[in-house]
Amino acid sequence: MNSVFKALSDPTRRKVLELLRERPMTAGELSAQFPVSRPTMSAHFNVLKEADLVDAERRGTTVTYRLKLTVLEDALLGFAQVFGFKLPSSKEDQK
Amino acid sequence: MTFNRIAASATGATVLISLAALGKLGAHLGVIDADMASRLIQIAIGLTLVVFANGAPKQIGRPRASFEAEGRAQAARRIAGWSLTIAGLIYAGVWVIAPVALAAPFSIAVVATGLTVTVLCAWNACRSRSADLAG
Repeated sequence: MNSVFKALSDPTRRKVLELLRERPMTAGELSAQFPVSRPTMSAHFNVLKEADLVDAERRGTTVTYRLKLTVLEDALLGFAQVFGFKLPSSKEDQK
Repeated sequence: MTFNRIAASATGATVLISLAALGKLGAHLGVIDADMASRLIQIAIGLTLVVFANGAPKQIGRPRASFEAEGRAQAARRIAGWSLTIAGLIYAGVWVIAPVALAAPFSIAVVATGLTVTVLCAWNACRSRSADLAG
């Protein structure tokens, strides 16, 4: 559950989950929506995967992400969006 | 993964059956009244529905043919999960507070509504897919 809170604490990751709510998207499509570098986006995707909030499927060179939220996680995402909660950033996040 | 699901279901079933047996035994021994025993098992059934409905949207299965089909299936799973979770919470809540005569029909109506919403969403997702194939 800690990994879920960590994943939901970042606005970029929350926005990724919001985008995936519409339909699955490729890593390229998702990255194009944010003004951050690809490695940074890749790190965000890894956090979401570790928390088991998204499913990643590789086909050739394309990675497609699908949303994988329980009702509780969905509700937490909604709460996080409304109240914008943010955990204190860890050293790992600052790297 | 499949083994985990079977184990979780078997554990859930065992807990429910044990609770029902304990309730019956408690009522027989006069520790609790028959109404309370019946309420306990109904509350457990409601909470079981909550647990399974909560996890339903996470069971995404294999990828669909297109992103649009996947989006529709995802929306259907999400609405089904929410409607059944809320139905389960109301079901359990009704059995906590309402008189038995009212709780029985009301709780059934709530779960039936949740199931109807789920079936309609699944049907709508399938119908949209048929329309896509025809178009």
